Amino acid sequence: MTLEMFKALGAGLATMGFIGAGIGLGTIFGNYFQAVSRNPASQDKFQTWLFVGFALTEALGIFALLIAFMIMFVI
Amino acid sequence: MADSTEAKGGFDLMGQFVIKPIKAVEGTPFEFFTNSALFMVLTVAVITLLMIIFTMNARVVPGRTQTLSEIIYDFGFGLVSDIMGKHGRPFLPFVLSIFLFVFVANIWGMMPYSFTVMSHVALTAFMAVVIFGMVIFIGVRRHGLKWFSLFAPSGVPGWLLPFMIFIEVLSFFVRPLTHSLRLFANMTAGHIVLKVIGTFASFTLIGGIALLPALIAISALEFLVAYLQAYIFALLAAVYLADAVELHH
Repeated sequence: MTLEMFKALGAGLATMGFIGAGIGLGTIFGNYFQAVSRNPASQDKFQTWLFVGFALTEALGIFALLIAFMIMFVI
Repeated sequence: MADSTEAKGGFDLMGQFVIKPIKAVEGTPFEFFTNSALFMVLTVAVITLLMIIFTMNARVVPGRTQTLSEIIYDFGFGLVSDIMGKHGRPFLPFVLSIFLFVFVANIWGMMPYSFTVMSHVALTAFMAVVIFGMVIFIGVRRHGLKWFSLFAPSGVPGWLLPFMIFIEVLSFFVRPLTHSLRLFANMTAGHIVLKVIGTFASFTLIGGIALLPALIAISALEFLVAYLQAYIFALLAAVYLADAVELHH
């Protein structure tokens, strides 16, 4: 096992942070569709904040991606 | 990077993101004019020209092209007024410019043989840091030192307050990081996926025909991502600027 192999392994493991982001995004979009299908008039009201929530949740996944990038290219 | 992987017979996935001087200026003193700069100029040129042409014969009852420009303007106005309320109106040109620049640059990136400007973290980080600096500058200028009460949410029990301030400050300072990395990562990853599937499809004729629907679907998805990431970038700029304009706590 060389250092390069461990780097690739570590970067791959670091992307597992996206599991959490995936669960979070599923919750956000699932609840959004539930809210809109119960009250279709509220679609415009929720849409903006849906994307804010989407962006903030995705940010946590992006941290994991950042760590993966750092392992691969920086360290 | 590009030449070494090609020579070894592997896939050249990152070659499309290499910044190099365009052919016309190679060897001249104008070598600073790279393909990245070219596509940024093209982006600004497209936006400016379209907007000038659309609004050249501005009338009270808009024609077809003027309606299009008004739809774009209304879109930006809705975005800003949803997030920032009536205090946000001075920021409409800024937020709309950011949206149009990112969106048109992403669409340019989808053209074959083009260069995706937003696939470089240097540019997205610069834009995010400018927005971050604007938030602090405008916040302190409008509210003075009272603006720092942003970090101390009201209605929190006293023993919890130090932790809350720590978390709020931390989440404030990672904003430019996530703001820039989101756009960069989405554009880069999308174009790498396109390249991977395109390379597989180019191996054999049957493989190409079989993968054509997937290629079309992923291209369509990439256009959606191009729009969505531009929208989210502008939306987050508005959300962050709203903190500077109005103190909620």
